[in-house]
Amino acid sequence: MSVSALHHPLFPVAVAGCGAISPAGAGVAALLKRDPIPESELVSLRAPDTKRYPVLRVDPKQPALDRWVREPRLRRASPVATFLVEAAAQALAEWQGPEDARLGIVGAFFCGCPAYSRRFFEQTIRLGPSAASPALFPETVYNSPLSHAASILGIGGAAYAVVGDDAAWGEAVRVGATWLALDEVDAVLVVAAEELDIISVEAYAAAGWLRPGRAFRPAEGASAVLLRRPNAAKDLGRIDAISPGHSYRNPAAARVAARATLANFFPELPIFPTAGHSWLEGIAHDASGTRPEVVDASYLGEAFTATAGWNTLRVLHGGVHLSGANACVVPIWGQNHQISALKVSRT
Amino acid sequence: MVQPGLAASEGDDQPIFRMTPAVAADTDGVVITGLGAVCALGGNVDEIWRRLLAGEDGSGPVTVFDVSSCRCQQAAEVKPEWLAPCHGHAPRLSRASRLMLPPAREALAQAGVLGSPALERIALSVATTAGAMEWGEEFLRGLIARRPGGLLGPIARQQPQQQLLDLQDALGFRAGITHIIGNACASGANAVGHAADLLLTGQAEIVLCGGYEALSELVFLGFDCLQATSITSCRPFDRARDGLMLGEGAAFLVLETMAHATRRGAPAMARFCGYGHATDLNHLTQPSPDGMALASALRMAARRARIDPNAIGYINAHGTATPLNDTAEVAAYAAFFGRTPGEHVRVSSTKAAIGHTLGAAGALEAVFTVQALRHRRLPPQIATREPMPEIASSLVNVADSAAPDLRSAASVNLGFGGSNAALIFAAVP
Repeated sequence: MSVSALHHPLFPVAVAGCGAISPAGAGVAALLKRDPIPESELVSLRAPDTKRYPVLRVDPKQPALDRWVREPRLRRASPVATFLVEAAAQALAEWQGPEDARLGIVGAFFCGCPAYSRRFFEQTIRLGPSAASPALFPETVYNSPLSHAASILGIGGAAYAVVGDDAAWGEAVRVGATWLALDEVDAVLVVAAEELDIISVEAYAAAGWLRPGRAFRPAEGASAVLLRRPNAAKDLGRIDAISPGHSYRNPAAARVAARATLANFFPELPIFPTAGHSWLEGIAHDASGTRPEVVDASYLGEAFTATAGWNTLRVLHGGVHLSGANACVVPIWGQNHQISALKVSRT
Repeated sequence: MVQPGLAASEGDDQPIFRMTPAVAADTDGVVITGLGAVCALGGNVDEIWRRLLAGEDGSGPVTVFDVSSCRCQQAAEVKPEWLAPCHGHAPRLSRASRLMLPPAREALAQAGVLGSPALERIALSVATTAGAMEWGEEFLRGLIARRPGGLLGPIARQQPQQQLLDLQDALGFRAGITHIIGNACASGANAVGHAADLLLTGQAEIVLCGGYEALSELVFLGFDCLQATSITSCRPFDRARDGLMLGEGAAFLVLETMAHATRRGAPAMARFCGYGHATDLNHLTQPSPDGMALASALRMAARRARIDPNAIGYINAHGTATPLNDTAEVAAYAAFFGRTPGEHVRVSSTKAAIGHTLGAAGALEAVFTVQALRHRRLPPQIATREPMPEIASSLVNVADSAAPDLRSAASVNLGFGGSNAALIFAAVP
């Protein structure tokens, strides 16, 4: 096996389709709305402590999600699987490739399937191991949403579940580009999906991310891009590059990682400020320096890998005003591991 | 053809991305220069290999949590003395991190990378299915018990990326590309295969790849309630097989381009030849009985390795000993070779000795496959008393594990979600 196996350059890769499900609704157009998103609440597991956490949720009854309720693979699956399938299906619907195209799928996950993991283990703690449900356990595995999507969309080729913080979105894009470069696939769906559950929100609270006065809001949803080799006439846009990831363990190291990540890009290249209201906002601001900032879009909350995907889609679809440029840096502020960035351009 | 950097692309009108440091992409191939492992049979590769060849069995009663209410009460646990020690900052390490540190250090030391400049260039491709699940369990217990504080400690280090940070802290480096694969029980093989893909596309010159998995209560209960675990013994490819045995462990391989290894003067232990992967769309937990996805993964690996299937002399099988897995796997071999596997290829599942280590399985079994090529010896198939007739003549006997003519060997894995992966290695002359 030699490097002659490489058929194409790694980057750029073209985006041939997009999909999203978010607290703003279904589809990429919803990501571009400027209206504030109504908040929901999740109640602490430590009830009756009555602690309540404001969050931004996806409406499970909307038609885009409701259309999957009769799908056998999703009948017992957790919401993250339905989010992922819907976003992937949107991205695939825009594509007009040959029927026998070789498709791959890469999923990025920060939380995996917390709802079923919590339900499964809570049952065993409260009721004993004999109450453990064989229907729940398989759905707790990281790649189960991806497996459902592959089955429903008929993708029998390559499939990876990439795990990490928000930066897993960038790693998933890297996997897609790698498969395209090796000519293993004709196109690859890169999908990120996250669901809210009280167990994960309690974890964010324990980490101090939800302290009173902070505008940070946990969110859920999914995003998807269909990548292929560039074909200018049909491309929605391009991902031109991904910076190497820089990992960190504490705020000081995060500061170094942020600077190192952005140093990969020429200072004239505008930056999309994507840190939201996370604890990394100040670090992001300092690292961006005098780099021109593109106009921001409305806050959809923090859905980690899915948010990183939404930000990519917003640039591709004109939801972010680039001030005369046709490309910008889309930083990915991983909340507890890595900082990386994509260069995204519009066609 | 490949960009001499990993991700640089200069747009026609906007040359705005600064090139990252060049990576030499010219290579005659990919080689393995370091191995490390820990599992129920030992705390390093040599010890494990000796005991595997002797046909020893690492199973025993579960001691790390209470299983008194479970159907199955056996697993293949790692002895405490083989874990990374608890001192200094180590009390904050999860069992998962304490499992992964010794084999990562062993592999890097064997490759001559520890303390060398190559460590600064290394990429990581690592697999797990549950990370430090025991800390997630502790967090949930704390919430349910309404414990007022002390919850951040466990949950902050539960996710897989935290174990990778533990690894980098302990060994003194910060990796660039860090890739964590959660493809259920095929993850370890995917992590090794993806490491090769990073090298072949010029994104890295050297990669530390592997997988780790610590026994955890949630996962144990999950397999127990699925009735996937054996209440007798793990007997891969046995007509009366009745389930798997869970295990724990970790394994790492150092993969690098031949050019990089040659420049460093690092001897190659084996060649990495091919990687294939495919998805079985049949069911979330049940492989299609025809084994077509695994056959497809094997064909892809053989195509990339540019070798004829019949050149493969040994397969380290997934062989979980569940009725469905072993049936599908035997069917896949028949499809891949174009005939029922016979004496032309020898097969064993080492899970009878070390248990099913889930995210670590593919990496541990890749290590065993490389060891087989280095030593021209095959891990025997233990515990199987009445072999499935379709594969009986391929299974390796304890008394007949010599393989003097072995040149190429494969390691395969299947997982929940339909993940299938195959790796092919070759001996170095």
